[in-house]
Amino acid sequence: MNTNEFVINTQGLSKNYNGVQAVKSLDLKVPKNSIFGFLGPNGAGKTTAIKLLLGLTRPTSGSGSIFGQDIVKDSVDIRKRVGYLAQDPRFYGHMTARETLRFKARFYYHGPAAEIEKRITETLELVGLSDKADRPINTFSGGERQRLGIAQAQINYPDLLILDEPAASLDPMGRRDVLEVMERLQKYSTIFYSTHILDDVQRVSDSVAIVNYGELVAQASIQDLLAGSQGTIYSLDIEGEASQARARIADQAWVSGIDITSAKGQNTWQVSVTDDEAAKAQLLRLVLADEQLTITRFGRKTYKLEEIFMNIVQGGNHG
Amino acid sequence: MRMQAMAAIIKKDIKSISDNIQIWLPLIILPLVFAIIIPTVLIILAKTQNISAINGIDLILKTIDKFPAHMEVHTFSDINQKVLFLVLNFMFIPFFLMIPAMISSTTAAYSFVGEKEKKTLESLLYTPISEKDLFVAKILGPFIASAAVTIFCFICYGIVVDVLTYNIFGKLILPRLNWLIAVFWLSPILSIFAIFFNVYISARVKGFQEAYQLGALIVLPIVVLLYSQLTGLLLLNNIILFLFGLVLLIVSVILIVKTGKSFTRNKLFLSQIK
Repeated sequence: MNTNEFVINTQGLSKNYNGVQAVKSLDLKVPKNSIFGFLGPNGAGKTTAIKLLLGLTRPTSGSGSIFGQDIVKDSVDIRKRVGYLAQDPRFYGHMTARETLRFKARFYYHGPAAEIEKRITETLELVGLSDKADRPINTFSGGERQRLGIAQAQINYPDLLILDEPAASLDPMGRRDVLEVMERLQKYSTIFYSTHILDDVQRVSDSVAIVNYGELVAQASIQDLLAGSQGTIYSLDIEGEASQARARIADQAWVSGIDITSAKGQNTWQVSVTDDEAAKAQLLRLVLADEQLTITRFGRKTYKLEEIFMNIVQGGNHG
Repeated sequence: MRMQAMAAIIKKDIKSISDNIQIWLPLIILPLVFAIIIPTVLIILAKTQNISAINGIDLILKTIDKFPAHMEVHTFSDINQKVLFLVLNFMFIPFFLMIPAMISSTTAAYSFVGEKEKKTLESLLYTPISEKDLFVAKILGPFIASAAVTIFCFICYGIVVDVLTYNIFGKLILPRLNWLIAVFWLSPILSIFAIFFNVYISARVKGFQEAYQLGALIVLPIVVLLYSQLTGLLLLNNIILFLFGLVLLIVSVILIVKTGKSFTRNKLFLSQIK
């Protein structure tokens, strides 16, 4: 991919706090207009990496760019086009939600007050806070503060939205709303977000990066990551005597292994293949050559992100 | 956009002070006491009592004797007039200087350390405002508050003094050059000094209370001035007032240079996460 198509592009980005390597040689590439999930266990360095990108802290070594601009030298200009939601957003408790957004808007907008108020109203509607717009924030629940944080992050129609745990403190409905907002905003913004909720990442993300102990251990499109690091595997559920079918398939040059498990009279085959095209064209036909066999399920094995994440993080595998 | 962002920060800081009664109430009471209540009581006492019978009055009379012969205080024959003129025109100046010192110190502590304590500084750090503009905006809030209250108090003081003493002196005794130097030269510089002193200590303290207590050290030089006035060791004439302001200005510039270096996003962010 052309480097101009990456909104975020880092090279060897590192941060050391008093001898603790919080981020280690991060090479992050975030495609434009993607929803990019940034995963890692607690303390993996996700928030530190975000702070480096935003220019809130200086890297110890390495470099990075956002919109082609240097994250250290051009951080003020970068922040004009970025919306950010902190992991634990803090607000001025004496202000209302509307006043908070009005205050925030002053950093980005210079124009008729009516237009700014219109934008504020739209943003409050988007996050479902219209009915609470004029209440002091110190009366808000955790979920309401999170919604306000999201509203604040996108008050300036950012080209890049950076969200640090956007669904934290939200109930399932609130999480669903946040994901829907992210999908809607994808048309206008690139969305880079960190989260622990892997189901959400699997649901909405185009690309994913996984960090562990400050180091990038996997970075791929969500499809490639879900395809697994163990190569392509086809899964079949078969009923009937299938020893001949097994021998036939094992002879194929594009088959690297067959793993069979049995339960309740049904066999589940996991066929590892080296040639996906050949497998698609021939695997099913080879099995069905035995007329007494019944295939109740056939398809390419897809992994749950949680499984891949655990393998990578606990097993120390690199995707 | 820059000016708009800075104005938003200044307005927000002033509003957060005015919304907190624990902060603004003492800042209003002290100036009112110094500017209106104490002078009113003193003038009424001077009108109704025999000042020469008061204990310790010899000290003040000796101070008057030290004034150069050409000074206006010697044109009054009545002891009450002399003492009142001295107190209202000279002795009150150090008291008055406590107003900008205290207001600036308290509001600056709230503006810088209070923000750090509540971890809301981060929300300002990730806006597209430069460190320099953020620094200036955070200083202007306390400065504007201090300047506004100081000038208002001076006007109140002037009105109270002139109205209540007109029949004593037969003329308006305020404003005078020494007061104009104190209010429009020394007070703003003292405010700036107090603010920068608080910025300097804000990086070294954990919370607002600690900053507030340390910031109160600002009044020590003013107490020294007051004592010097009372004992006649140092008379706050126009030149002394001007020079005092100049010294404070130089110290303020040094503090600006030192504090400016630590006001970087990197250091401010690190101070929030510690």
